[in-house]
Amino acid sequence: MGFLVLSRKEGESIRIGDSIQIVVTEIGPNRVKLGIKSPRSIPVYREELYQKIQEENRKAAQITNVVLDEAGHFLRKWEILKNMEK
Amino acid sequence: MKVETTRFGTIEVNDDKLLEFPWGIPGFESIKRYVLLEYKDGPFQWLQAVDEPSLAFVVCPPEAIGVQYKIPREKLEPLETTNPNEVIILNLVSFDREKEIIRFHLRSPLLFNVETRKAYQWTMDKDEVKNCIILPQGMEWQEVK
Repeated sequence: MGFLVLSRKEGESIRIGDSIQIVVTEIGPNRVKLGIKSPRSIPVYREELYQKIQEENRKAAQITNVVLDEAGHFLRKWEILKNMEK
Repeated sequence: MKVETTRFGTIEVNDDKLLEFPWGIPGFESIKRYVLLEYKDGPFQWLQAVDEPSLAFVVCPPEAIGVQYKIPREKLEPLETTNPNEVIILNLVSFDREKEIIRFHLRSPLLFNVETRKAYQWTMDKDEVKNCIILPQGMEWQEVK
């Protein structure tokens, strides 16, 4: 994938394809605010959050049948604990 | 159709049971088709990838642990619906064997449109976590390190 660098001033924008527009709405000393106009059906993420969820999902995908069988056992234990608290 | 899986061997799946994640699941973006498989008598189910035999998640409805979600209208839009009754939620579950802890991934629920069978993962920011997840009494957030 290429990496394109563009300079933009406050209020200016870029367009990606024919349906996504990214507007620089505010430039501060150490952060910029971006407005994103895109079709509602496209999810938009903050990159660091996306990466964290990727990592969590990869962990979740490592589960095996054996582990789930064990997990079922602990869930029951947890339910017993929950019942006792009432 | 026949679906190859590493955990369950070859299974037969009706086409109308397929679930489509048009954007994939973060971390597995290229895998779009999944199927839900029962596990014992619940509440867990397997979410098995149709085109990648080794990829499967364990999922669980939030109601099973007493958790509820308020889904903002705009979070339904990727599912092309405005009706929350057409949407069901499942959480990914992971398991720490050493600590004997089950983790419900509450911050990144999977949303399914039951009519179109399209789905995506809602990745919640801090405010959404605070405003859109209703924990049952006595349950508290635990930071995962």
